[in-house]
Amino acid sequence: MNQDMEIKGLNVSFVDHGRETKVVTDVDATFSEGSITGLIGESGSGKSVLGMAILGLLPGSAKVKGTCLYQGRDLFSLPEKEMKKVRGTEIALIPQNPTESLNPIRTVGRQLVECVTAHEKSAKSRAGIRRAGIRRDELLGRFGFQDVGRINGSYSFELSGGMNQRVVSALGLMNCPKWVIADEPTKGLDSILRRQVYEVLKDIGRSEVRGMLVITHDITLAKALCDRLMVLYGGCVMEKGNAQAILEAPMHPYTRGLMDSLPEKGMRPIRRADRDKERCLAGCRFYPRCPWGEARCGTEMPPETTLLDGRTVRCFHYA
Amino acid sequence: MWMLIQYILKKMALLAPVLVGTSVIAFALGVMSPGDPVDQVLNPNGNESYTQEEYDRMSARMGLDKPLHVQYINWVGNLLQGDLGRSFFTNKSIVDQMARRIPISARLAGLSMVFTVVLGVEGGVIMAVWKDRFLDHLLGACAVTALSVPGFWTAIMLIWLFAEKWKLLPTSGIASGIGYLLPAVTLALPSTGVCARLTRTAILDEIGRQYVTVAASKGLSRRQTVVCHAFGNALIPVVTYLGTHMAGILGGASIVETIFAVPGIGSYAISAVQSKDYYVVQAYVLFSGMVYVAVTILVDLLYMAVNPRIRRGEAGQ
Repeated sequence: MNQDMEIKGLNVSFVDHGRETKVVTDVDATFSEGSITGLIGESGSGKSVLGMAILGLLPGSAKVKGTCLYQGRDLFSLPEKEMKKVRGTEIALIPQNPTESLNPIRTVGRQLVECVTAHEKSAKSRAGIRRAGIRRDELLGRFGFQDVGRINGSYSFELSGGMNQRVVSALGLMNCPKWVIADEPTKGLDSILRRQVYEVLKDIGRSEVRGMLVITHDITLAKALCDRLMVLYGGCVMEKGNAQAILEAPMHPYTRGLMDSLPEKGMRPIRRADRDKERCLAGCRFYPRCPWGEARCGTEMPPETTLLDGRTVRCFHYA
Repeated sequence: MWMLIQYILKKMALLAPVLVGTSVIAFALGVMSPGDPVDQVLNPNGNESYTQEEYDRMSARMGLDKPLHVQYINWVGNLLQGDLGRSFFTNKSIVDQMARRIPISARLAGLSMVFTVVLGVEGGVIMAVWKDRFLDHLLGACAVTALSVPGFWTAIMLIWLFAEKWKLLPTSGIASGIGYLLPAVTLALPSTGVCARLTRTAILDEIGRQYVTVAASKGLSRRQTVVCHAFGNALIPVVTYLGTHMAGILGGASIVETIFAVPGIGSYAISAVQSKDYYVVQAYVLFSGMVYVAVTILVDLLYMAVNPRIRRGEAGQ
């Protein structure tokens, strides 16, 4: 069966006391089998919300519109009982904020085994737990832990941020899922561990899982790990396509700004938002900061334009 | 295990000054309270006369002619030998009386605690799971009612319904074990309400945390995430509340014991206060102080059981 994940017309908004705030607008994307897709963008651009929407784990105040086709089913309209079976086995999450992602009163080892025992009744048997334990120890070893036994018996508050980060990475992969959504998997790691983590993710992304979504603002990680990229700004996809092409020759003014702000490109910051233009809510999200902005950018949302190399850019400049 | 014993000893050492303080306060209460104990003994009915010589003799026999600090030391000395003196009126040994009454109060407190824990925690979990739905509102209203109705009113209503109208339970006394039921329910009602609301808030607080979302991402059902993950963390504030509450009712539920004629430690204290039986009051104050200290240690141990941050942090050092 086709293992692609196809998102169409995704809109997410949060309702708070009757006031609706849009956080993701008109996202269309296909995450195809065998690929690692990077979602990049600054904090608050809607990357994590997109990932959590796929898993159906947004809080009750969130309104999700659109479809997410996976194995012929729309994940957004799947009943909770079915969705429960999808989580962890079909699509798993490597959460961000690792220390908050682990229950402080349960040992790390137990929380990892639970990823497996949550699903099968037989997994709760002694043999099942032992098998899960072997998988857990192997994964922790791959993520660079030497004294696996000690880690298993520890609580999250006894481990460092970097250790917890690697623990939650293992957590996402415990039940051999088909898809993995990794939310900031290298945050808080030093460069050696960071390399190690993305080596493992890359390895797993290539061999063990069908596909992976990596949410990050670490462009180095995106470069090393991803085949495809999706650049988000203000909840809109600004540019998407082949990772190498986008990183080498960014087209959208935001992607260009993002690349120019990298240390190796001279660290030129994207310019600050223009106060007057900030009031134009109907148009392109990047308009207040865009160096190329035209009058219509403030009033009209630019369409997604597909370029010759297959990438899509949301900018009037290319329309 | 050794760590645990060390931890308990450390806690006890810290609480020793509290015990000393309690004993001073208890003793001072006896000394400062109005009325003359010697006069009370010689003239319990208020219409007998005695000579100054008799007064001095009795005062010497009771040890009240000595300076205060000597009296205190004697009192503590007797205390350590298990002697709290005798009641002025009944002339019965206070220790014997208390030894008879404490188990009764403890049984009452224990039964009421069972009600509070089972109904309160259960109710709180149900309210949290059904948040903002009908069941939540219904139980929430019940909880507020339960915690705001005064104990004596509940007691009267329960006696009227169960004893007078339906004739199911005795009005008072604990001749049969079933007699504990009404006082225990009366005692448990307000704390059940508080406990339910506290549990609900604590669970909802935990449910909003990220580790619960991550637990759901593993494929656990909502119920499993609440029961297996949020609940354990939510217990921490609930245990604190239940601990102080337990200390309070173990020290004697005076009003409820008096209404239901339960011969426990609380009704003993009330009658002692009414008849100015100061030795008994002294003993009671000391006892309730000790109960608080003991329960505090118990709560700390329970804390360690539910909270590994304390288990690893304090005992592990």
